[in-house]
Amino acid sequence: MNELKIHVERVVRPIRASNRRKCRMREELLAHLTCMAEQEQHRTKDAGAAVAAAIRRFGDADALRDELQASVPVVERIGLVDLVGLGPMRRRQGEAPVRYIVRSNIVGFAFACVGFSLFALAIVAIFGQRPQRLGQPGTLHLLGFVFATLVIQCGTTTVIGLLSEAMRRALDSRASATSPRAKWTATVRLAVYCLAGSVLIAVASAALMAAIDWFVPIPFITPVYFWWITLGAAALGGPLLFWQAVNWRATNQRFEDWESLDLETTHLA
Amino acid sequence: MGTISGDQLRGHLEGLILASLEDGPSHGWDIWRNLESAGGGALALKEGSLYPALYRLEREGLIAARWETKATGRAGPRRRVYRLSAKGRRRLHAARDQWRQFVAVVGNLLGAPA
Repeated sequence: MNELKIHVERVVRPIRASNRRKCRMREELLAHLTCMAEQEQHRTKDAGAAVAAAIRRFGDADALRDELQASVPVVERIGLVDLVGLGPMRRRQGEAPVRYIVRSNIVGFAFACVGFSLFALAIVAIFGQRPQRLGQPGTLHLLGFVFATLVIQCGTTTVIGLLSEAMRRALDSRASATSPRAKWTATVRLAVYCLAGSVLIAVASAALMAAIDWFVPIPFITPVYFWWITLGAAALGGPLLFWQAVNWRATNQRFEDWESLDLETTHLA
Repeated sequence: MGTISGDQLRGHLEGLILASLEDGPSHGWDIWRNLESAGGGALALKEGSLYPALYRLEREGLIAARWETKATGRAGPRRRVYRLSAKGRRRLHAARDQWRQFVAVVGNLLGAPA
């Protein structure tokens, strides 16, 4: 089974596609290869020979990889091209989820700040720092607004990522709990994280509205709407976070299982 | 009987898969076995190439897929069950018409009418 998994991983790992699509390819190809190996073993009565025959029948790994890559939608393919500089945003082999969440958000924030600073310098160099017309926000005002939204967005995604990971662990604990007390404790932890998610998303939504209002007062953000939107964000935030954690758990389990396979040092029999 | 290589089948595999799904939903392994038995062992195609074709058909909306959910009594990785969509059924009918026309015209030219 492990040799079949390694063959599948050799085909699928280099493909530029979303993790979700790649996990699907892995499972489907492995299911087919497993059936083939079982059929061959029934015929040859030799497990090693059956695996080798199944891999041979399956076809050349490079050719199959090219065909699978061509079946990925163009938008997804282009979006996942290994651009220079995006490497640090990807999850490294064996990297702990918490470390990955914090690191990728810090790197993302740093990239956004550098890109935005260059853009800001160009704007200031071209238009100067004064408003172009009376009543319009000045360039520095604009820069302050964009920087504030960057901080809010990056801070929120980091904390949401950490809360999702904490919920994933609570879900794991709940699934493996052997006593009612342990199950209850895990459920309480999940409820607390949901509540924290609601508060966080409500605060982030309020901060974003305040930043927009500070930049250009928008007529529809009256105090009444402000509170309705904040309450709506609070009501939806917890359940959405829970749903994300359930998905994150399923993807993470499958992802770690496959990505931990060492393709360099393991050789087929 | 000689074998029909993958190159000769190029362009026809999608139609063969659609035809295989006409009788009802099926997963990759069963689709392959249907093709193999219908081809009488003459189809010399690498089995892995079935999946890129399935993904292309799904992307075009000609087939739909979902993960196998009912207990099948088998251990191992999950399988996806594919079924023909209405668009896929129309494409299959069109492919059959094209094939009949191709066989009639080329058969006459070769001096071996269908």
